Amino acid sequence: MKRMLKVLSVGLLSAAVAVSASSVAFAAGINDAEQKILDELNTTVTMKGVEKSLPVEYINQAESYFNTVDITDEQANQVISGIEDAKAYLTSTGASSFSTLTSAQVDTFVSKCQSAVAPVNLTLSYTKSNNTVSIVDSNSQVVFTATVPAITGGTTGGTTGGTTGGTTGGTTGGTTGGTTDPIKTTGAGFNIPGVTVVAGVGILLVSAAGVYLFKSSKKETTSDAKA
Amino acid sequence: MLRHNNSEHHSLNGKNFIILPIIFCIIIYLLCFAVFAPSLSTLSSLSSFFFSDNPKDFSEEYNNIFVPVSENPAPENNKSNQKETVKISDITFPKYGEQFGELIIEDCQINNKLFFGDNDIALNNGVGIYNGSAIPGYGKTILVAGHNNTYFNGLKYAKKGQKVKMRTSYGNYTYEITDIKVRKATDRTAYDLAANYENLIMYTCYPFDELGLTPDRCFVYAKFVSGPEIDKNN
Repeated sequence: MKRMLKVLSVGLLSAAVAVSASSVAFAAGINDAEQKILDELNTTVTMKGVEKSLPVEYINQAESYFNTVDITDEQANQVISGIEDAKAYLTSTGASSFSTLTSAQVDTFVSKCQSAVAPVNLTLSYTKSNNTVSIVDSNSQVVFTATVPAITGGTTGGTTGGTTGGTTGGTTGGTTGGTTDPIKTTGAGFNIPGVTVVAGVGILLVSAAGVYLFKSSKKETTSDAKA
Repeated sequence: MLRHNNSEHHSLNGKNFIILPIIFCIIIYLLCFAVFAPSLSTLSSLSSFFFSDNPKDFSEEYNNIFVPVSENPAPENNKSNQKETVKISDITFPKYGEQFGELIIEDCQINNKLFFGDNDIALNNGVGIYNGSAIPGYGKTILVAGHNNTYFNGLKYAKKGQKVKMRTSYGNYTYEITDIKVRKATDRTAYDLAANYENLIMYTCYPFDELGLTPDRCFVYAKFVSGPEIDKNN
């Protein structure tokens, strides 16, 4: 009987822990730790004497992402430390904007950004060929991508902060594939019937021309042979 | 006589195998140009699609967390001046790529699934909120994208004063169209994502029935009319 009680109490305890853990994992809203990160993202970084800040859409993305997860104080402190480190590095490069960083400086900066997002189980990558920064979560779900021009933005607004945001804020939200500028290409999709019809008509025309050419040359050859 | 025939035959061959193919090529080229000219941008997009470094997401699977709530209480119950609110802790905040509602403009014959995020999957299945903007009730700008040939084709019928409804799992929202503008896609003054008041901006490529991808966008602006405000402190 005692043994049964023990098993039952252990079971109940496990269930309680599981329920409380899951409720923590899905709590919406911005907790104090997340707010600290948002505040840090809202601070500027100085590059060659000019204050640069993160574009508002990246802050919004961060906020949206934080509404779907819960960040602990410890994680927040590590992330903030990472952001500060990345910002300090940017200032130390003496560059006036992200786009003027050398390849080696970009690599170092990206590496610092990777360290900044690691505490919240996010992985950052930077593709040089298309200047895209992307961040995925532990389930390989893309949570943020941005093209560097979009990150660098204007001269003052959101250059490096942008990239830092791409990093930490990068924790933030994001788009899968394509541009991450707010305005998307909302023209015809690639699979619409119109494209198929146009392509079909084109193929038909070329085929008809080919057949015509073949037949006429054959006719010519026959008449030549007869002559 | 035979020599004469041979020279005639050679000149015929020259005509058949040199001049005619050149003329044929020119005609076909002009014909193809005339046929494909309206969709050159689409073709160039297609070529960039085939040769692009960017990964293309062909998956059509998405998570749907939308559970319709009953319509807002009758006006009789809403007469009090108290703001209708919903606690943020009571809602399931949508993750990127999830369907969490519907967007309806009856006057424009628009009734679409509403996604959080505007990736390919979202825009192939409905309309999507840019995740750098906000969800309904959050008190900020809501920037919604949709394709001009499909889900947002109806925006060509948009007029000031028409009502836009957004139904989500945590509440039903109504907005009223206040303005319609055509701007360049790169024009960042066409929207304000830093606004601290609830407003809705819907956009699609312009012209509406253009087959190719265009540099212009039609922006439809709407003001908040009703719906529960999300209480971020609870």
